[in-house]
Amino acid sequence: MKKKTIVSGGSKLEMFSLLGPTSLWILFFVVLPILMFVVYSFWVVRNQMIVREFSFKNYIRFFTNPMYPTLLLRSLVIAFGVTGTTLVFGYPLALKIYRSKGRAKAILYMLILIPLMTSYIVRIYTMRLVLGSNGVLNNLLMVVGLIDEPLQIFLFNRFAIFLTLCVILSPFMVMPVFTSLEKIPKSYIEAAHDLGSSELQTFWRVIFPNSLPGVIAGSMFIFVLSLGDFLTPILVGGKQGTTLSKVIQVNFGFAYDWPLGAALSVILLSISMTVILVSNRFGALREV
Amino acid sequence: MIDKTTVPERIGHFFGKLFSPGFGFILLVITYVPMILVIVFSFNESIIAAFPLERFSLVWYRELLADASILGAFRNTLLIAVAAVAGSLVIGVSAAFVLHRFHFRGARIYQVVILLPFLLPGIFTGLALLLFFAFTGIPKSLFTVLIGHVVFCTAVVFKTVAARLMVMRRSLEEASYDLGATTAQTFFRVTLPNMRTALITGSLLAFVLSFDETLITFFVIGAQLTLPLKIWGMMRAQFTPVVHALAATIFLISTLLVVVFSRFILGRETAR
Repeated sequence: MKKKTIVSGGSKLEMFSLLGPTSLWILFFVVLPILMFVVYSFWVVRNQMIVREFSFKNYIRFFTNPMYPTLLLRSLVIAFGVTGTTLVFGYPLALKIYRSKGRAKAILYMLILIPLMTSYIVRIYTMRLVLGSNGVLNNLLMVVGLIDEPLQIFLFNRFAIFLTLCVILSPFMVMPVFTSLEKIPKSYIEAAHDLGSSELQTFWRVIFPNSLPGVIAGSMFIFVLSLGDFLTPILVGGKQGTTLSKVIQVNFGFAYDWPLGAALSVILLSISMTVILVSNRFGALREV
Repeated sequence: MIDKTTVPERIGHFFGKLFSPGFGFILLVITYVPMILVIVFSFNESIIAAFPLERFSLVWYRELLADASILGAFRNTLLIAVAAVAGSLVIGVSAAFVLHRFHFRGARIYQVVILLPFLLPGIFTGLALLLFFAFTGIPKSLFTVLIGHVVFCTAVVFKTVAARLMVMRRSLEEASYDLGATTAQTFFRVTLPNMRTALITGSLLAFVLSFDETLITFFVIGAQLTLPLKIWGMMRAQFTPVVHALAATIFLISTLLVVVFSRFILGRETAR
Protein backbone atom coordinates (compact mmCIF):
# COMPACT_ATOMS: atom_id res chain seq x y z
CA MET A 1 0.00 0.00 0.00
CA LYS A 2 1.46 3.31 -1.00
CA LYS A 3 1.24 6.13 1.47
CA LYS A 4 -0.24 9.36 0.31
CA THR A 5 2.05 12.29 0.79
CA ILE A 6 0.70 15.37 2.43
CA VAL A 7 2.53 18.37 1.11
CA SER A 8 0.38 21.20 2.29
CA GLY A 9 1.17 22.86 5.59
CA GLY A 10 4.42 21.05 6.34
CA SER A 11 7.68 22.92 6.37
CA LYS A 12 11.22 21.64 6.68
CA LEU A 13 11.52 23.60 9.92
CA GLU A 14 8.56 21.81 11.47
CA MET A 15 9.96 18.47 10.37
CA PHE A 16 13.35 19.06 11.92
CA SER A 17 11.94 20.47 15.13
CA LEU A 18 10.19 17.13 15.62
CA LEU A 19 12.79 14.89 14.07
CA GLY A 20 15.70 16.55 15.85
CA PRO A 21 14.97 15.71 19.51
CA THR A 22 13.77 12.16 18.83
CA SER A 23 16.75 11.50 16.58
CA LEU A 24 19.13 12.77 19.23
CA TRP A 25 17.57 10.51 21.83
CA ILE A 26 17.78 7.51 19.52
CA LEU A 27 21.34 8.39 18.56
CA PHE A 28 22.52 8.72 22.16
CA PHE A 29 20.67 5.88 23.81
CA VAL A 30 20.17 3.32 21.05
CA VAL A 31 22.68 3.75 18.22
CA LEU A 32 25.79 4.88 20.10
CA PRO A 33 25.39 2.30 22.89
CA ILE A 34 25.13 -0.51 20.33
CA LEU A 35 28.22 0.82 18.53
CA MET A 36 30.00 0.69 21.90
CA PHE A 37 29.98 -3.09 21.61
CA VAL A 38 32.11 -2.83 18.50
CA VAL A 39 34.46 -0.30 20.07
CA TYR A 40 35.01 -2.27 23.28
CA SER A 41 35.39 -5.56 21.41
CA PHE A 42 38.68 -4.34 19.92
CA TRP A 43 40.16 -3.36 23.27
CA VAL A 44 41.98 -5.59 25.75
CA VAL A 45 42.17 -6.21 29.47
CA ARG A 46 45.54 -6.02 31.19
CA ASN A 47 46.04 -6.28 34.97
CA GLN A 48 42.30 -6.06 35.60
CA MET A 49 42.17 -2.84 33.61
CA ILE A 50 40.56 -2.13 30.26
CA VAL A 51 43.30 -0.86 27.95
CA ARG A 52 42.17 1.21 24.97
CA GLU A 53 44.44 -0.40 22.43
CA PHE A 54 43.28 -1.78 19.10
CA SER A 55 43.53 -5.56 18.87
CA PHE A 56 41.76 -8.52 17.26
CA LYS A 57 42.67 -10.63 20.30
CA ASN A 58 39.08 -11.17 21.50
CA TYR A 59 37.84 -12.39 18.14
CA ILE A 60 40.88 -14.62 17.77
CA ARG A 61 40.08 -16.08 21.17
CA PHE A 62 36.56 -16.89 20.03
CA PHE A 63 37.73 -18.79 16.97
CA THR A 64 40.76 -20.52 18.48
CA ASN A 65 39.31 -21.67 21.79
CA PRO A 66 36.86 -24.46 20.88
CA MET A 67 34.84 -23.66 24.01
CA TYR A 68 33.24 -20.56 22.47
CA PRO A 69 31.99 -22.05 19.18
CA THR A 70 30.67 -25.00 21.20
CA LEU A 71 28.76 -22.62 23.48
CA LEU A 72 27.38 -20.76 20.47
CA LEU A 73 26.29 -24.04 18.90
CA ARG A 74 24.61 -25.05 22.15
CA SER A 75 22.78 -21.73 22.32
CA LEU A 76 21.65 -22.14 18.72
CA VAL A 77 20.44 -25.71 19.31
CA ILE A 78 18.43 -24.59 22.34
CA ALA A 79 16.99 -21.63 20.39
CA PHE A 80 15.96 -23.84 17.47
CA GLY A 81 14.43 -26.42 19.81
CA VAL A 82 12.46 -23.82 21.72
CA THR A 83 11.25 -22.18 18.49
CA GLY A 84 10.05 -25.48 17.02
CA THR A 85 8.37 -26.64 20.21
CA THR A 86 6.56 -23.38 20.89
CA LEU A 87 5.35 -23.39 17.28
CA VAL A 88 3.94 -26.91 17.59
CA PHE A 89 2.18 -26.08 20.87
CA GLY A 90 1.46 -22.42 20.23
CA TYR A 91 -0.13 -22.61 16.78
CA PRO A 92 -3.03 -24.85 17.86
CA LEU A 93 -3.65 -22.54 20.80
CA ALA A 94 -3.70 -19.47 18.57
CA LEU A 95 -6.10 -21.29 16.24
CA LYS A 96 -8.29 -22.21 19.18
CA ILE A 97 -8.52 -18.57 20.30
CA TYR A 98 -9.18 -17.46 16.72
CA ARG A 99 -12.05 -19.94 16.40
CA SER A 100 -13.60 -19.18 19.80
CA LYS A 101 -16.37 -16.66 20.08
CA GLY A 102 -17.51 -13.96 22.47
CA ARG A 103 -16.65 -14.40 26.11
CA ALA A 104 -14.56 -17.55 25.63
CA LYS A 105 -12.40 -15.72 23.13
CA ALA A 106 -11.88 -12.74 25.46
CA ILE A 107 -10.90 -15.03 28.32
CA LEU A 108 -8.49 -17.12 26.25
CA TYR A 109 -6.93 -13.93 24.88
CA MET A 110 -6.42 -12.66 28.39
CA LEU A 111 -4.91 -16.01 29.46
CA ILE A 112 -2.16 -15.45 26.87
CA LEU A 113 -1.73 -11.77 27.63
CA ILE A 114 -1.17 -12.38 31.36
CA PRO A 115 1.96 -14.56 31.00
CA LEU A 116 3.24 -12.21 28.30
CA MET A 117 3.13 -9.34 30.77
CA THR A 118 4.09 -11.12 33.97
CA SER A 119 7.56 -10.56 35.30
CA TYR A 120 10.14 -12.70 33.55
CA ILE A 121 12.03 -13.42 36.73
CA VAL A 122 8.91 -14.38 38.65
CA ARG A 123 8.07 -16.90 35.94
CA ILE A 124 11.56 -18.44 36.00
CA TYR A 125 11.28 -18.58 39.76
CA THR A 126 8.00 -20.49 39.59
CA MET A 127 9.53 -22.97 37.14
CA ARG A 128 12.40 -23.55 39.55
CA LEU A 129 9.92 -24.12 42.32
CA VAL A 130 8.36 -26.92 40.28
CA LEU A 131 11.52 -28.50 38.91
CA GLY A 132 13.95 -28.24 41.86
CA SER A 133 15.21 -31.14 43.93
CA ASN A 134 13.00 -29.93 46.77
CA GLY A 135 10.53 -28.95 44.09
CA VAL A 136 6.90 -29.74 43.62
CA LEU A 137 7.46 -32.31 40.87
CA ASN A 138 9.77 -34.44 43.03
CA ASN A 139 7.51 -33.88 45.99
CA LEU A 140 4.45 -35.14 44.10
CA LEU A 141 6.30 -38.13 42.66
CA MET A 142 7.37 -39.06 46.20
CA VAL A 143 3.90 -38.59 47.66
CA VAL A 144 2.44 -40.80 44.93
CA GLY A 145 5.19 -43.32 45.65
CA LEU A 146 6.82 -43.44 42.23
CA ILE A 147 10.21 -42.50 43.64
CA ASP A 148 11.80 -42.72 47.11
CA GLU A 149 14.50 -40.10 46.76
CA PRO A 150 14.22 -36.70 45.06
CA LEU A 151 15.48 -36.90 41.48
CA GLN A 152 18.12 -34.39 40.41
CA ILE A 153 17.27 -34.75 36.73
CA PHE A 154 14.74 -31.94 36.45
CA LEU A 155 16.86 -28.97 37.37
CA PHE A 156 20.32 -27.68 36.52
CA ASN A 157 20.69 -29.14 33.08
CA ARG A 158 20.08 -28.15 29.49
CA PHE A 159 16.65 -29.73 29.42
CA ALA A 160 15.56 -27.46 32.27
CA ILE A 161 16.66 -24.44 30.23
CA PHE A 162 14.78 -25.72 27.20
CA LEU A 163 11.60 -26.42 29.15
CA THR A 164 11.67 -23.14 31.08
CA LEU A 165 12.23 -21.11 27.91
CA CYS A 166 9.40 -22.94 26.13
CA VAL A 167 6.99 -22.16 28.95
CA ILE A 168 8.10 -18.56 29.44
CA LEU A 169 8.33 -17.57 25.78
CA SER A 170 5.33 -19.40 24.28
CA PRO A 171 3.03 -16.31 24.44
CA PHE A 172 5.45 -14.61 22.03
CA MET A 173 4.45 -17.27 19.50
CA VAL A 174 0.74 -17.40 20.23
CA MET A 175 0.19 -13.62 20.01
CA PRO A 176 1.61 -12.91 16.52
CA VAL A 177 0.05 -16.07 15.07
CA PHE A 178 -3.31 -15.07 16.53
CA THR A 179 -2.90 -11.53 15.18
CA SER A 180 -2.23 -12.75 11.66
CA LEU A 181 -5.14 -15.23 11.83
CA GLU A 182 -7.45 -12.39 12.84
CA LYS A 183 -6.29 -10.37 9.84
CA ILE A 184 -7.44 -12.98 7.30
CA PRO A 185 -10.53 -11.51 5.62
CA LYS A 186 -13.62 -13.59 6.35
CA SER A 187 -14.45 -13.40 2.63
CA TYR A 188 -11.43 -15.60 1.80
CA ILE A 189 -12.77 -18.36 4.00
CA GLU A 190 -16.31 -17.95 2.73
CA ALA A 191 -15.05 -18.04 -0.84
CA ALA A 192 -13.17 -21.27 -0.14
CA HIS A 193 -16.31 -22.82 1.33
CA ASP A 194 -18.47 -21.60 -1.55
CA LEU A 195 -16.07 -23.21 -3.98
CA GLY A 196 -16.69 -26.48 -2.19
CA SER A 197 -13.51 -26.87 -0.17
CA SER A 198 -13.67 -28.93 3.00
CA GLU A 199 -12.68 -27.62 6.45
CA LEU A 200 -9.30 -29.21 6.08
CA GLN A 201 -8.67 -27.88 2.59
CA THR A 202 -9.67 -24.42 3.75
CA PHE A 203 -7.21 -24.67 6.60
CA TRP A 204 -4.21 -25.81 4.58
CA ARG A 205 -4.85 -23.74 1.48
CA VAL A 206 -6.30 -20.53 2.89
CA ILE A 207 -5.84 -20.15 6.62
CA PHE A 208 -2.37 -21.59 7.13
CA PRO A 209 -0.62 -19.81 4.23
CA ASN A 210 -2.16 -16.51 5.30
CA SER A 211 -0.97 -16.97 8.87
CA LEU A 212 2.66 -17.46 7.83
CA PRO A 213 3.73 -13.85 8.58
CA GLY A 214 2.59 -14.44 12.17
CA VAL A 215 4.46 -17.73 12.32
CA ILE A 216 7.61 -16.00 11.07
CA ALA A 217 7.19 -13.11 13.52
CA GLY A 218 6.63 -15.52 16.43
CA SER A 219 9.57 -17.69 15.44
CA MET A 220 11.79 -14.63 15.12
CA PHE A 221 10.85 -13.45 18.61
CA ILE A 222 11.33 -16.83 20.23
CA PHE A 223 14.60 -17.57 18.45
CA VAL A 224 16.17 -14.21 19.23
CA LEU A 225 14.88 -14.09 22.80
CA SER A 226 16.07 -17.62 23.65
CA LEU A 227 19.43 -16.89 22.09
CA GLY A 228 19.91 -13.80 24.23
CA ASP A 229 18.43 -15.01 27.51
CA PHE A 230 20.93 -15.29 30.34
CA LEU A 231 18.71 -15.44 33.42
CA THR A 232 17.27 -18.85 32.61
CA PRO A 233 20.68 -20.54 32.21
CA ILE A 234 21.87 -18.89 35.44
CA LEU A 235 18.80 -19.87 37.44
CA VAL A 236 17.93 -23.32 36.11
CA GLY A 237 20.88 -24.32 33.91
CA GLY A 238 23.59 -25.26 36.41
CA LYS A 239 27.11 -26.12 35.23
CA GLN A 240 25.95 -28.23 32.29
CA GLY A 241 23.69 -25.50 31.03
CA THR A 242 26.20 -22.75 30.26
CA THR A 243 25.24 -20.87 27.11
CA LEU A 244 26.97 -18.10 25.20
CA SER A 245 24.74 -15.40 26.67
CA LYS A 246 25.52 -16.62 30.18
CA VAL A 247 29.24 -16.41 29.40
CA ILE A 248 28.71 -12.86 28.13
CA GLN A 249 27.03 -11.94 31.41
CA VAL A 250 29.88 -13.56 33.39
CA ASN A 251 32.45 -11.54 31.43
CA PHE A 252 30.60 -8.37 32.32
CA GLY A 253 30.25 -9.58 35.88
CA PHE A 254 32.88 -11.08 38.11
CA ALA A 255 35.18 -12.29 35.29
CA TYR A 256 35.58 -8.60 34.39
CA ASP A 257 36.62 -9.01 30.78
CA TRP A 258 34.36 -6.45 29.13
CA PRO A 259 36.22 -6.45 25.78
CA LEU A 260 35.83 -10.22 25.43
CA GLY A 261 32.20 -9.94 26.51
CA ALA A 262 31.70 -7.19 23.92
CA ALA A 263 33.25 -9.33 21.17
CA LEU A 264 30.98 -12.27 22.09
CA SER A 265 28.04 -9.83 22.10
CA VAL A 266 28.95 -8.58 18.63
CA ILE A 267 28.87 -12.17 17.36
CA LEU A 268 25.54 -12.99 19.02
CA LEU A 269 24.10 -9.61 18.07
CA SER A 270 25.01 -10.11 14.39
CA ILE A 271 23.17 -13.43 14.38
CA SER A 272 20.12 -11.87 16.07
CA MET A 273 20.11 -8.88 13.69
CA THR A 274 20.34 -11.18 10.67
CA VAL A 275 17.35 -13.17 11.92
CA ILE A 276 15.36 -9.95 12.51
CA LEU A 277 16.20 -8.44 9.12
CA VAL A 278 15.46 -11.66 7.23
CA SER A 279 12.10 -12.03 9.03
CA ASN A 280 11.35 -8.42 8.23
CA ARG A 281 11.73 -9.26 4.53
CA PHE A 282 8.79 -11.62 5.03
CA GLY A 283 6.72 -8.91 6.66
CA ALA A 284 7.21 -10.17 10.22
CA LEU A 285 7.41 -6.73 11.80
CA ARG A 286 3.93 -5.87 10.64
CA GLU A 287 2.57 -8.70 12.79
CA VAL A 288 3.92 -7.57 16.13
CA MET B 1 -17.69 -33.61 -4.63
CA ILE B 2 -14.37 -35.26 -5.22
CA ASP B 3 -12.02 -34.91 -2.31
CA LYS B 4 -8.88 -33.38 -3.70
CA THR B 5 -6.88 -33.39 -0.49
CA THR B 6 -3.31 -34.52 -0.80
CA VAL B 7 -1.71 -37.05 1.50
CA PRO B 8 0.36 -34.54 3.53
CA GLU B 9 -2.77 -32.49 4.05
CA ARG B 10 -4.59 -35.53 5.34
CA ILE B 11 -1.76 -36.40 7.70
CA GLY B 12 -1.73 -32.80 8.87
CA HIS B 13 -5.43 -32.93 9.46
CA PHE B 14 -5.16 -36.18 11.41
CA PHE B 15 -2.59 -34.66 13.75
CA GLY B 16 -4.58 -31.49 13.89
CA LYS B 17 -7.69 -33.29 15.02
CA LEU B 18 -5.74 -35.38 17.47
CA PHE B 19 -3.65 -32.65 19.05
CA SER B 20 -5.13 -29.29 18.30
CA PRO B 21 -7.23 -28.81 21.43
CA GLY B 22 -4.83 -30.92 23.49
CA PHE B 23 -1.64 -29.02 22.64
CA GLY B 24 -3.16 -25.67 23.42
CA PHE B 25 -4.53 -27.05 26.66
CA ILE B 26 -1.16 -28.51 27.70
CA LEU B 27 0.48 -25.16 27.03
CA LEU B 28 -2.03 -23.30 29.19
CA VAL B 29 -1.70 -25.86 31.99
CA ILE B 30 2.09 -25.75 32.17
CA THR B 31 1.98 -21.98 31.95
CA TYR B 32 -0.40 -21.55 34.83
CA VAL B 33 0.32 -24.44 37.22
CA PRO B 34 3.71 -23.06 38.39
CA MET B 35 2.22 -19.61 38.98
CA ILE B 36 -0.79 -20.95 40.84
CA LEU B 37 1.51 -23.12 42.98
CA VAL B 38 3.48 -20.06 44.06
CA ILE B 39 0.27 -18.36 45.13
CA VAL B 40 -0.79 -21.49 47.04
CA PHE B 41 2.56 -21.81 48.81
CA SER B 42 2.61 -18.13 49.68
CA PHE B 43 -0.43 -18.76 51.92
CA ASN B 44 1.02 -21.95 53.39
CA GLU B 45 2.44 -21.69 56.89
CA SER B 46 5.19 -24.25 56.29
CA ILE B 47 8.64 -23.02 55.38
CA ILE B 48 8.95 -25.87 52.86
CA ALA B 49 7.16 -25.59 49.52
CA ALA B 50 5.71 -29.10 49.48
CA PHE B 51 2.49 -31.05 49.65
CA PRO B 52 0.59 -31.86 51.83
CA LEU B 53 -0.04 -28.24 52.73
CA GLU B 54 0.01 -27.10 56.32
CA ARG B 55 -2.23 -24.32 57.60
CA PHE B 56 -3.45 -21.23 55.76
CA SER B 57 -1.48 -18.27 56.96
CA LEU B 58 -0.67 -14.68 56.08
CA VAL B 59 2.63 -14.76 57.93
CA TRP B 60 4.78 -14.41 54.77
CA TYR B 61 2.78 -11.43 53.60
CA ARG B 62 3.16 -9.85 57.01
CA GLU B 63 6.93 -10.30 56.76
CA LEU B 64 6.82 -8.90 53.25
CA LEU B 65 5.11 -5.73 54.40
CA ALA B 66 7.48 -5.41 57.35
CA ASP B 67 10.54 -5.44 55.10
CA ALA B 68 11.54 -1.83 54.41
CA SER B 69 13.91 -2.79 51.57
CA ILE B 70 11.07 -4.49 49.69
CA LEU B 71 8.79 -1.51 50.16
CA GLY B 72 11.59 0.79 49.00
CA ALA B 73 12.10 -1.36 45.90
CA PHE B 74 8.36 -1.24 45.26
CA ARG B 75 8.39 2.55 45.48
CA ASN B 76 11.38 2.75 43.10
CA THR B 77 9.62 0.46 40.64
CA LEU B 78 6.46 2.58 40.64
CA LEU B 79 8.38 5.85 40.29
CA ILE B 80 10.37 4.53 37.36
CA ALA B 81 7.29 3.05 35.69
CA VAL B 82 5.41 6.37 35.87
CA ALA B 83 8.41 8.34 34.63
CA ALA B 84 9.09 5.78 31.88
CA VAL B 85 5.50 6.07 30.66
CA ALA B 86 5.79 9.87 30.51
CA GLY B 87 9.16 9.82 28.76
CA SER B 88 8.27 7.12 26.26
CA LEU B 89 4.97 8.84 25.42
CA VAL B 90 6.76 12.06 24.47
CA ILE B 91 9.45 10.37 22.39
CA GLY B 92 7.29 7.55 20.99
CA VAL B 93 4.45 9.83 19.91
CA SER B 94 6.72 12.42 18.29
CA ALA B 95 8.62 9.70 16.45
CA ALA B 96 5.41 8.09 15.19
CA PHE B 97 3.96 11.45 14.19
CA VAL B 98 7.05 12.62 12.34
CA LEU B 99 7.10 9.39 10.32
CA HIS B 100 3.40 9.72 9.59
CA ARG B 101 3.53 13.39 8.70
CA PHE B 102 6.75 13.74 6.75
CA HIS B 103 8.59 11.67 4.21
CA PHE B 104 12.31 11.75 4.48
CA ARG B 105 15.31 9.73 3.49
CA GLY B 106 16.12 6.92 5.92
CA ALA B 107 12.59 6.77 7.34
CA ARG B 108 12.61 2.97 7.23
CA ILE B 109 15.91 2.68 9.06
CA TYR B 110 14.71 5.25 11.60
CA GLN B 111 11.69 3.03 12.24
CA VAL B 112 13.72 -0.17 12.66
CA VAL B 113 16.20 1.55 15.00
CA ILE B 114 13.38 2.79 17.28
CA LEU B 115 11.95 -0.72 17.41
CA LEU B 116 15.32 -2.37 18.06
CA PRO B 117 15.21 -2.29 21.88
CA PHE B 118 11.85 -4.10 21.66
CA LEU B 119 13.03 -6.66 19.10
CA LEU B 120 16.40 -7.42 20.65
CA PRO B 121 16.76 -9.40 23.87
CA GLY B 122 17.32 -7.26 26.97
CA ILE B 123 20.93 -8.38 27.30
CA PHE B 124 21.94 -6.29 24.27
CA THR B 125 20.10 -3.12 25.22
CA GLY B 126 21.25 -3.50 28.82
CA LEU B 127 24.89 -4.15 28.01
CA ALA B 128 25.01 -1.51 25.29
CA LEU B 129 23.77 1.08 27.79
CA LEU B 130 26.18 -0.22 30.44
CA LEU B 131 29.11 0.28 28.05
CA PHE B 132 27.81 3.71 27.05
CA PHE B 133 27.40 4.85 30.66
CA ALA B 134 30.83 3.49 31.56
CA PHE B 135 32.40 5.20 28.55
CA THR B 136 30.80 8.56 29.28
CA GLY B 137 31.33 8.24 33.03
CA ILE B 138 27.66 8.38 34.03
CA PRO B 139 27.31 6.50 37.35
CA LYS B 140 24.71 3.73 37.57
CA SER B 141 21.62 4.76 39.49
CA LEU B 142 17.84 4.77 39.25
CA PHE B 143 18.29 7.45 36.60
CA THR B 144 20.22 5.11 34.31
CA VAL B 145 17.53 2.48 34.92
CA LEU B 146 14.95 5.04 33.83
CA ILE B 147 16.85 5.72 30.58
CA GLY B 148 16.90 1.98 29.88
CA HIS B 149 13.17 1.71 30.51
CA VAL B 150 12.36 4.74 28.33
CA VAL B 151 14.43 3.29 25.48
CA PHE B 152 12.52 0.02 25.75
CA CYS B 153 9.04 1.49 26.31
CA THR B 154 9.44 4.07 23.53
CA ALA B 155 9.54 1.18 21.06
CA VAL B 156 6.23 -0.14 22.42
CA VAL B 157 4.49 3.25 22.47
CA PHE B 158 5.80 4.01 19.00
CA LYS B 159 4.49 0.69 17.67
CA THR B 160 1.02 1.20 19.17
CA VAL B 161 0.68 4.80 18.04
CA ALA B 162 2.12 4.15 14.55
CA ALA B 163 -0.37 1.31 14.06
CA ARG B 164 -3.23 3.67 14.94
CA LEU B 165 -1.96 6.43 12.67
CA MET B 166 -1.80 3.96 9.77
CA VAL B 167 -5.53 3.27 9.93
CA MET B 168 -6.59 6.82 10.79
CA ARG B 169 -8.41 8.59 8.00
CA ARG B 170 -6.01 11.03 6.45
CA SER B 171 -8.84 13.18 5.17
CA LEU B 172 -9.30 14.52 8.70
CA GLU B 173 -5.79 15.87 8.84
CA GLU B 174 -5.86 16.96 5.22
CA ALA B 175 -8.99 18.97 5.88
CA SER B 176 -7.22 20.63 8.80
CA TYR B 177 -4.20 21.55 6.68
CA ASP B 178 -6.44 22.77 3.87
CA LEU B 179 -8.20 25.05 6.31
CA GLY B 180 -4.85 26.60 7.06
CA ALA B 181 -3.90 24.92 10.34
CA THR B 182 -0.24 24.48 11.10
CA THR B 183 1.33 21.09 11.81
CA ALA B 184 1.24 21.80 15.55
CA GLN B 185 -2.42 22.87 15.48
CA THR B 186 -3.38 19.83 13.43
CA PHE B 187 -1.46 17.56 15.77
CA PHE B 188 -3.04 18.87 18.98
CA ARG B 189 -6.57 19.42 17.67
CA VAL B 190 -7.03 16.58 15.18
CA THR B 191 -4.39 13.87 15.37
CA LEU B 192 -3.98 13.63 19.14
CA PRO B 193 -7.70 13.37 20.02
CA ASN B 194 -8.08 10.72 17.32
CA MET B 195 -5.46 8.49 18.83
CA ARG B 196 -6.65 8.62 22.40
CA THR B 197 -7.17 4.86 22.54
CA ALA B 198 -3.70 4.16 21.17
CA LEU B 199 -2.21 6.55 23.74
CA ILE B 200 -3.95 4.83 26.63
CA THR B 201 -3.06 1.37 25.29
CA GLY B 202 0.55 2.40 24.82
CA SER B 203 0.78 3.90 28.31
CA LEU B 204 -0.69 0.83 29.96
CA LEU B 205 1.64 -1.46 28.04
CA ALA B 206 4.63 0.71 28.85
CA PHE B 207 3.66 0.77 32.53
CA VAL B 208 3.38 -3.02 32.82
CA LEU B 209 6.57 -3.62 30.84
CA SER B 210 8.51 -1.15 32.96
CA PHE B 211 7.05 -2.57 36.16
CA ASP B 212 8.34 -6.06 35.25
CA GLU B 213 11.52 -5.13 33.37
CA THR B 214 14.43 -7.28 34.55
CA LEU B 215 16.95 -7.94 31.79
CA ILE B 216 17.94 -4.35 30.90
CA THR B 217 17.63 -3.21 34.52
CA PHE B 218 20.01 -5.99 35.59
CA PHE B 219 22.95 -4.26 33.86
CA VAL B 220 22.27 -0.59 34.52
CA ILE B 221 21.07 -0.61 38.12
CA GLY B 222 22.99 0.97 40.97
CA ALA B 223 22.60 0.43 44.70
CA GLN B 224 18.87 1.27 44.71
CA LEU B 225 16.88 -1.80 43.62
CA THR B 226 13.65 -2.25 41.71
CA LEU B 227 11.23 -5.04 42.63
CA PRO B 228 12.32 -7.62 40.00
CA LEU B 229 15.95 -7.08 40.99
CA LYS B 230 15.02 -7.36 44.65
CA ILE B 231 13.46 -10.76 43.89
CA TRP B 232 16.61 -11.74 42.03
CA GLY B 233 18.67 -10.92 45.10
CA MET B 234 16.30 -12.80 47.41
CA MET B 235 16.40 -15.87 45.16
CA ARG B 236 20.14 -16.05 45.57
CA ALA B 237 20.16 -15.43 49.31
CA GLN B 238 18.97 -17.78 52.05
CA PHE B 239 15.58 -19.10 50.99
CA THR B 240 12.47 -17.83 52.73
CA PRO B 241 8.81 -18.19 51.68
CA VAL B 242 8.64 -14.38 51.66
CA VAL B 243 9.89 -14.78 48.06
CA HIS B 244 6.69 -16.74 47.33
CA ALA B 245 4.62 -13.93 48.75
CA LEU B 246 6.55 -11.33 46.73
CA ALA B 247 6.34 -13.39 43.52
CA ALA B 248 2.61 -13.91 44.06
CA THR B 249 2.10 -10.19 44.69
CA ILE B 250 3.96 -9.19 41.52
CA PHE B 251 2.04 -11.79 39.54
CA LEU B 252 -1.29 -10.56 40.86
CA ILE B 253 -0.44 -6.91 40.16
CA SER B 254 0.51 -7.75 36.56
CA THR B 255 -2.64 -9.82 36.15
CA LEU B 256 -4.80 -7.00 37.46
CA LEU B 257 -3.17 -4.55 35.05
CA VAL B 258 -3.65 -6.93 32.13
CA VAL B 259 -7.31 -7.48 32.99
CA VAL B 260 -7.94 -3.72 33.16
CA PHE B 261 -5.96 -3.29 29.97
CA SER B 262 -7.68 -5.97 27.91
CA ARG B 263 -11.15 -4.99 29.15
CA PHE B 264 -10.33 -1.53 27.95
CA ILE B 265 -9.15 -2.67 24.51
CA LEU B 266 -11.93 -5.21 23.96
CA GLY B 267 -14.49 -2.68 25.16
CA ARG B 268 -13.20 -0.16 22.63
CA GLU B 269 -13.24 -2.65 19.81
CA THR B 270 -16.82 -3.69 20.36
CA ALA B 271 -17.88 -0.09 20.77
CA ARG B 272 -16.33 0.93 17.46
